[in-house]
Amino acid sequence: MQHVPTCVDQVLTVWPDWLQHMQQAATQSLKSNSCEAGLWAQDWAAYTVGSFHAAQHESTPALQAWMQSHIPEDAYCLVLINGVGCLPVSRLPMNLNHEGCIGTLQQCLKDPVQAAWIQAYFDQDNVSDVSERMQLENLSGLMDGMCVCLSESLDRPLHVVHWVDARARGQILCLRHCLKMASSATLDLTHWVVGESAVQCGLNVSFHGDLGVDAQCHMVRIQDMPDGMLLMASDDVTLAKQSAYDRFDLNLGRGQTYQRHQINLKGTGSRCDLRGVFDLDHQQQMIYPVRVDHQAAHTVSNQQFCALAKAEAIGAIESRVIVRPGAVQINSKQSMRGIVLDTGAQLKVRPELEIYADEVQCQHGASVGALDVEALRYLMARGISYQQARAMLIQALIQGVLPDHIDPSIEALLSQLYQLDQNIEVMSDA
Amino acid sequence: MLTIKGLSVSIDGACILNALDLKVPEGQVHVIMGPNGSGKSTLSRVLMGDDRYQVDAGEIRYRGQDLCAMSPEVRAHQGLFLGFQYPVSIPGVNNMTFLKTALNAKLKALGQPECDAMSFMALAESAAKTIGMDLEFLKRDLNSDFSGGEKKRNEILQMLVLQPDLAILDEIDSGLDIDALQAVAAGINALRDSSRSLLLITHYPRLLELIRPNRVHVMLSGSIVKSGEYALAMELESKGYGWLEPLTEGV
Ligand SMILES: Nc1ncnc2c1ncn2[C@@H]1O[C@H](COP(=O)(O)OP(=O)(O)O)[C@@H](O)[C@H]1O
Ligand SMILES: [Mg+2]
Repeated sequence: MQHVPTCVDQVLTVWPDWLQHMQQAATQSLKSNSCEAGLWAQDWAAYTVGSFHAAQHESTPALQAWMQSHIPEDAYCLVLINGVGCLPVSRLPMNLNHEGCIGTLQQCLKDPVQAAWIQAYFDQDNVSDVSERMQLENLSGLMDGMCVCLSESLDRPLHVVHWVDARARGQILCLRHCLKMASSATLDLTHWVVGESAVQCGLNVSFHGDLGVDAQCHMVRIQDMPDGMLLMASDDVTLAKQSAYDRFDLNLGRGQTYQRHQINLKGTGSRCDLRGVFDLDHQQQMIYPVRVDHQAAHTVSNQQFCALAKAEAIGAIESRVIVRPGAVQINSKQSMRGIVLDTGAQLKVRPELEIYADEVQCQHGASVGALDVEALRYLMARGISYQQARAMLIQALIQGVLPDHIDPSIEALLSQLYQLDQNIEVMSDA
Repeated sequence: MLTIKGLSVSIDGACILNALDLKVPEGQVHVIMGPNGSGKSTLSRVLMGDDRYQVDAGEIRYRGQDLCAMSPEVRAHQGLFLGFQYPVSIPGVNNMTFLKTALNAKLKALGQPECDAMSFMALAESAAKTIGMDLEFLKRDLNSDFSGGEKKRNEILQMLVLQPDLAILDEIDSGLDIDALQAVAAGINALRDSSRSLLLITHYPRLLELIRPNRVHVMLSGSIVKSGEYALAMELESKGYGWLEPLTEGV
């Protein structure tokens, strides 16, 4: 076991300030001295709050090309360019029945029926008036998001793309995603947070999900942002009886990430399966707090994360499982693996349990360490190069946390991850 | 094939091999016997290029080349093979993928065309047959949840697929039942020919009865103190190592 680095704790104390900072940014531009020990203080100090022009949300050839190679032909797709829903590149179902909707926040708010539940979500954030909130947030970036309200299963996978490019430089883009699923509805959702080129900007994204009885949501979030971007994501998902939420986070990019999960297993027998693969490099930092709240009996949660840290990257995964009084016969598993690949990199994984009920089954395992040297030696003794041996071991670890069914396009992204590892230098202690 | 002269090796300042001399000519099978802790495994790992050990003195020539100048993978490409005393388990790495990767790495390094899936399967199948190993093991993760005997068989399988010129087998016969021992011996004998050499490390004459080595060496305190014919192995079996102790003095 590696010594728990104190600097991770420092990062953790700085991050809440950053969150607050992001919120303040809605009403005032950032001043260089306002961020105490801010990790990106200099970068952000240079930011001014600008106003966006329509041209900044127009599709570009780069985006079109990216879409072609990443989004399946037959999938529904909602594209947000630099924070704003962009219709020309969207492929959405035309005939959802009248209770349902798929669209951007801006569109859905125009419909009084949809506006009502969206307002309800915002109430949870203690914002009295949606339009007031939007005005506030409009001051810094822009505000839009995805709104999906399903009264029945969606017949095809839905891809939501956040595309950020150089036009968003210096902006903090605020996005609010709302998802509401009626009983027995199913949804296969892939959420891309991607960028074209290194650009300094921030994404402040919140996601509210409400799964009805027996509903099933299978969600993948792929974060492949270039250097300089900051993603603050806060996800709240509440599950009704017998519903299921499967989530896979793949963090490939070079942006800084704060990703918070709050999963409320509110209905009896509801279950969540959270997986994550995180590849951290350079001076990347990632904070990943997860809270799984077993509020009802027979609820099930499974968490499996694997983080790789190279160069001077820092990562912290903290997962707290809470078992409320009366939430009997629940089952919870937490497994976290941190692999430190360079001496300057640091990782911390921390599983926590808070149990107030009887008859619970909880398992957790967490470890941080280097790659297994004996295994490396074994592979090399058989003629496999250090680079390839390392890639094989990393691949083995990652495979261990992947969900059973994975999209071929994600498979391809992962293999790119193993190949990237072949570019690293030869073992230093030789 | 292999010539070791005056080899001294240490780890963290502790001397483990001490002015060791050993010669294994082409086409011969040599055996090293010796009490626990005498340095047999250390020698095998040093030959394979384990970077934990420091070579303080002496030289190792493999087919006339300086072995110490080669990285572990180059040694493997050049025909060296070590059957580990304790093969590691690597969950998540498929046994077949691993072996195919290893074979192709070697072929590539030798400038030969890589082996496709079909011909690899044929190779693996015939090797498995030689040692009576179920092909199901190829589908599993590398040594993961294999019994001790299954791991040893898997080492022999790898050896047969990789066709090394010099195979060093470290206690390949420890913990094997009689059937497994026969199978391992069959694998070893299948590899044996006039151009290949083997160096076996063992405690038991049982394997040697099936293999009939050309020469037996005794290692004590990091040196070879006595060498002889096959009969020496029998002598050790009845007398133990104590009578050889005086030979270590002055080494
Ligand atoms: N990696 C290591 N670190 C420290 N001591 C070692 C290491 N490898 C071997 N040794 C020591 O070297 C001596 C010889 O070990 P080994 O070569 O395994 O003996 P054998 O195989 O003959 O039983 C033992 O005293 C052992 O403790
Ligand atoms: Mg040994």
